[in-house]
Amino acid sequence: MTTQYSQTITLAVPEHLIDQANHLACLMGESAADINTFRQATYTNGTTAYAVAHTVCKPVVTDALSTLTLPPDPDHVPPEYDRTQAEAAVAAIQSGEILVAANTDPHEQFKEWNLEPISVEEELV
Amino acid sequence: MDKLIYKGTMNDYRTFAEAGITEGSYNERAMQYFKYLGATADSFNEAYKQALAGGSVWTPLQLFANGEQGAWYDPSDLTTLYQDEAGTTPVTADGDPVGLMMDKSGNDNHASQSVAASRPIYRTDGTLHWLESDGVDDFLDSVGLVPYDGTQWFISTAMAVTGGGGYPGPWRFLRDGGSPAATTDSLLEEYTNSPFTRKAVIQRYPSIVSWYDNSAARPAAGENQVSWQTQGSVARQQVIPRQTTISELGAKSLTSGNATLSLFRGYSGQFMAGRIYGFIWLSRTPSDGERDNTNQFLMDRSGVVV
Repeated sequence: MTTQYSQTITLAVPEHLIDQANHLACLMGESAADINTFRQATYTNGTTAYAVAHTVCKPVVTDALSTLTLPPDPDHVPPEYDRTQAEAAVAAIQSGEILVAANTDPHEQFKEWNLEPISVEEELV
Repeated sequence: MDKLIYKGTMNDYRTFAEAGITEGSYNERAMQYFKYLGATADSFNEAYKQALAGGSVWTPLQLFANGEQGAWYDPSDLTTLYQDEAGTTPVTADGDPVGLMMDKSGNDNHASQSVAASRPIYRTDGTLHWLESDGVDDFLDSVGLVPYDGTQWFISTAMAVTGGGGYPGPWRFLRDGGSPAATTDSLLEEYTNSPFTRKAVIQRYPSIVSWYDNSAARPAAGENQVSWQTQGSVARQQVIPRQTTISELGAKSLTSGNATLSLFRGYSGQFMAGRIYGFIWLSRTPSDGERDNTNQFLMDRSGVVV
């Protein structure tokens, strides 16, 4: 048996666009919980902090993001879901603010985007 | 009698129930044991006697035979893996995401992930089976809080850290409910793979306390290894195969309570890029024989040969 999750996608979302990106993730995702896909910024390019995600996905997701054509709202979206926010996220992808790459190693992709993990100091124990 | 074959089939439990063998006939723990055996209903009486006599098939389920708290996660058992958190779509193929991994200890401490993008994936090479995380955002947490005895516990894991840009460790296996991005959330950490040498297990709550390991041996990136720690009268730790001796560590106890079991998390919000072949958490100190059986079981699951 072959998995339907034949694609991977990597995203980096500027901190101020996390809400919009979460509405898009909910629209493209599989349940209401996907509105919490991006939680906090953990990477930075030195000036802007980014929340990141990487996942396997079905071709329908990469197809939609490559054509920037959103499907109809699925049944699973929660009451707080706002399609206009998802559309704003798509606009941010078009403008290059939200970074998207398909079928790449996420850590190599972060380097290509000049993103580094926001360091957390090790406590002395 | 039919030959007993370890198959890990959850449906056998239903087979017994359909055959009229109920929990009133045999104790619940025995029934839970047999749901992992390929025994048919007709062979149940004989198999039950074998189990009482010690049996010929050892599984980690026996660690929990007296109702001990804990969890046993086994990615090689596809009947315990589901693509979604609700457990409606089973994992069937290499590459499927895992939103729910059921606890095989009988304690229902299942591990799940509600966000699709944060689910690790199931992998197999046809022989070995594991969950693989991307080191970006993948993790699983126990669905509810797991009660534990801070003075008597045992943890054994079969895993490999793949490196390649992911966080190198330490790993957070027990969370106490604080912010996932804060070190204060870490109740029990595991330093086996971390670049910080001479540390094996770290307690961070209520105060930072360390058990120091006398060996500097650490697994190489990508090397499958079984690591265990136990806390009893003396805390002990071993990494197989890189560390051949059992380290005696200063005995320090956790504060007993309830916590979240966590897989693939770093100690302060990072995520592990790597594989988990098996994970066992037991809220008591095992005997040496039980510990060796557990570690051998996980070595088999991860292909580790000493």
